[in-house]
Amino acid sequence: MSEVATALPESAPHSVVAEALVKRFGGVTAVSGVSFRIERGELIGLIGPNGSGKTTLINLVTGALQPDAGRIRIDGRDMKGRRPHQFARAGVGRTFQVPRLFQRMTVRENMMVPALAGSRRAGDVRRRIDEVLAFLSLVDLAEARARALSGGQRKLLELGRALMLEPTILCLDEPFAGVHPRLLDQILDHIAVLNRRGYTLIIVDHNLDAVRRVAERRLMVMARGELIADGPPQEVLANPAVVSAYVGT
Amino acid sequence: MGSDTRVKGAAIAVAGMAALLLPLGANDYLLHITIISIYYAVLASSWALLAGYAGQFSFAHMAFAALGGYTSALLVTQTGLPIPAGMVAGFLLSGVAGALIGFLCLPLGGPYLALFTLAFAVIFQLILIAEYQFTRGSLGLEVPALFGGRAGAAYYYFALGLLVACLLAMNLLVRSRLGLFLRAIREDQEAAEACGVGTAGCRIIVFTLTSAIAGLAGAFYGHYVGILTPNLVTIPEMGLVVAMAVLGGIESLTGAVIGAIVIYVASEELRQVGQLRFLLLGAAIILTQRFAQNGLIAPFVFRAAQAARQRPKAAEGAARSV
Amino acid sequence: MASYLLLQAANGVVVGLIYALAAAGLTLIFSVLKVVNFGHGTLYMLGGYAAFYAIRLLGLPPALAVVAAMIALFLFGIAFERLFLTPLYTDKVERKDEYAIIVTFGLFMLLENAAIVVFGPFNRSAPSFVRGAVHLGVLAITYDRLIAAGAAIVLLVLLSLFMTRTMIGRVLDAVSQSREAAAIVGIDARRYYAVAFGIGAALAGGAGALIGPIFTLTPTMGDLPSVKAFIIIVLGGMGSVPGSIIGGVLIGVVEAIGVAIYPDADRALAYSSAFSALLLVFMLLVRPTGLFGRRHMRME
Repeated sequence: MSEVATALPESAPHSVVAEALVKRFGGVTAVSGVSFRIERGELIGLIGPNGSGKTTLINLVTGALQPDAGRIRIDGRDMKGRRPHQFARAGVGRTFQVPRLFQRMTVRENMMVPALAGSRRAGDVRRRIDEVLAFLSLVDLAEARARALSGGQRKLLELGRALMLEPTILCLDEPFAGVHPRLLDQILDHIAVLNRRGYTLIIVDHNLDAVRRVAERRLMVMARGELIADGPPQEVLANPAVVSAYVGT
Repeated sequence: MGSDTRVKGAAIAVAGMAALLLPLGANDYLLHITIISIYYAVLASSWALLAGYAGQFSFAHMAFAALGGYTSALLVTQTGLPIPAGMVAGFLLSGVAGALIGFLCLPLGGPYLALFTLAFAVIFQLILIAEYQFTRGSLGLEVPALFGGRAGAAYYYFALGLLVACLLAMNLLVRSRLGLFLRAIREDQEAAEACGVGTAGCRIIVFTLTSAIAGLAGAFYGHYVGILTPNLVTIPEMGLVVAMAVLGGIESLTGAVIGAIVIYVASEELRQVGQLRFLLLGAAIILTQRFAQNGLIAPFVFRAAQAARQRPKAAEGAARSV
Repeated sequence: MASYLLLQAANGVVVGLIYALAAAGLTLIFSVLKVVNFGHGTLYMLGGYAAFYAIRLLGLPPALAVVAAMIALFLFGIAFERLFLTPLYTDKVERKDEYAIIVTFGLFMLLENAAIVVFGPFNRSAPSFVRGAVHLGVLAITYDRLIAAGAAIVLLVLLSLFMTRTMIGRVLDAVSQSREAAAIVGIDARRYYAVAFGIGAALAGGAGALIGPIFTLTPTMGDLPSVKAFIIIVLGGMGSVPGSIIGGVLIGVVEAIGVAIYPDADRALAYSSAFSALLLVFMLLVRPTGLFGRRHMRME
């Protein structure tokens, strides 16, 4: 595993600040008055029952959706009105619930897209791709087409692609979903390593056990569009509101 | 790898020789047909780049060609500008128009562009007919000729040069960073955005470039044929170009070029049957999309290239086993 | 002059309502199938010819001919959808947006040129519903126009009732709002696509049949109205029937005023259409979802 490609420069300041975010779809309020602050290098688990608004929140944090009210600050910058690719260039990387790969392009080409979208020179790009592929043990598949990959390999490629932009904040949407136990451990390892190297990580998943194994310090819980708990796992999981939110599903 | 490029090089060399020597053996009519086919080849390949490669559907392609043509014709006749300058002006104006329409529609998504460009084309044609003080309406605008006298060969080489230049430019784009981004956008636009690709900007650039190319083609057409009419912008004309790209292979520039030549020649041969040929074209478009989405010609080109790659390997294998 | 303008405006409302009818069909097809039907203008044209031949060959009275035309177009729409649009929803098609645009454009070319070949390129007049005109003071409006406008209103009302009161209509409405939500409730959207396309085609055909006696029938009669219909559905909002109605009347009146302002027929046509397009541009800049639009266009 290469340290060089996946370690963050010391000078990168980063945090996410959300202030009173609201997002509505027609008559449904998916996110209602959510506020939080995330400091650099934190690893946070975001959990909640189905339909609680987790993915919508991630979409807001990564710019895929614009909030109807409230604002998002990335590294202190107000991201109001910015398009998703500007969020990406500001350092917010993400994976999707169901991997959205460029199917007919090769693994390497998939990685080249975000690499070239940043301002990287061609020589650097090739080296960096090789390093990240090595980190994720995907080197043998570099020239394979994305659609030929297995489910687990797709998840890894999603992660690799997100890393290529040198994000300071990584939002992983259901990285453990549908993944078999051996690969699960591998992904957990990768996440732990990334966090040690200074990445800020927000991990959304249903798999409470897996989330707890990485997010040792802080859990955020959403239910019905609201942030109902935010703090150390022991406290959060003992919170009666959290318990009832889960029991209710 | 080496044998692959050698085969490709040989094919291009042969085609190139045939193309360069054509005027020696061809009569006036054949030369004329070839020149017009080249005109359509430029239009079809640029449309294929926009629609197939970048995934953007414009029905204003012929309108941009007409814009370029009329611009050049009017500038040359009204202000005495030399013809090449007029053609450049047509190229630039069509590009600007493309950029404007692109800025307006491309951020909104696919069908909006198609709708708006269709409306633009229909209305542009109406305006061309209505403003006949400038454009001579349906009677047609006379356009000064690029080369005087019976210069069929000169026009032919000019058109060939134009086609080669356009194909080179488009190929450069395809191989560039922008080309990669366009492929990503075509695969999954939201994922491309999440990877940092400014999708709207990319698409506007392609749209501007292909509109400009259409304008240049239209300008050449005007100065070759000598007359421009609003019939350039009709739906059947646009449909012809669509059919050429679709049947040729919408993701393949070569396929579109070959498709253009084949379809134009076929439609000329079928002139006797009148409108029936457009009916057949419509049916062909529907059936090809339904049963052969990657076109009829491009798969052959692709398979031929693959076969060429396999043969040296087989020879190697045989040699080793001896 | 004022009475002339008023007359023109009244005519504009009539034509606008008919455009609205066609646009309602287009917007229904779009909202349920997520496909913009570039062949819509030719369906409108076919409706006109279907009614014409129903009268001439079957001897039907004009009113029934309109109904016959709508039924014929409904069946045609279902057949076309099953044959050529259903593959969109299997995984046989790689690039869905592209497929829909090209296939419906191919339909446009096929039908328009088939009409030229079969019916001939020259104009025809369809027989009137009822001859004569009604005189309200200085205004004289033909019965044909009144009947057409009235029929359009009736059909649009029936459409609304259909979408809100009947089982199938409510299913279509649900699917148009969210395919996923409908799936959760157990609705297989795909079964209803053919019906939606058929209804859309029938509405277009009805509009063409109604306008037959007012303007002439030619194979290209659907070209400009289809452009107008596109403008209307963007103005009114993709997927909104009330939006289509308001948009339709607006465009009809604009067109009519254009005719009043420009004495030159070519100019009038060109610039009233251009003005409608400018309205479209304005709407795209200010509020791309249209007056009553629900959501962004995309293949799910």
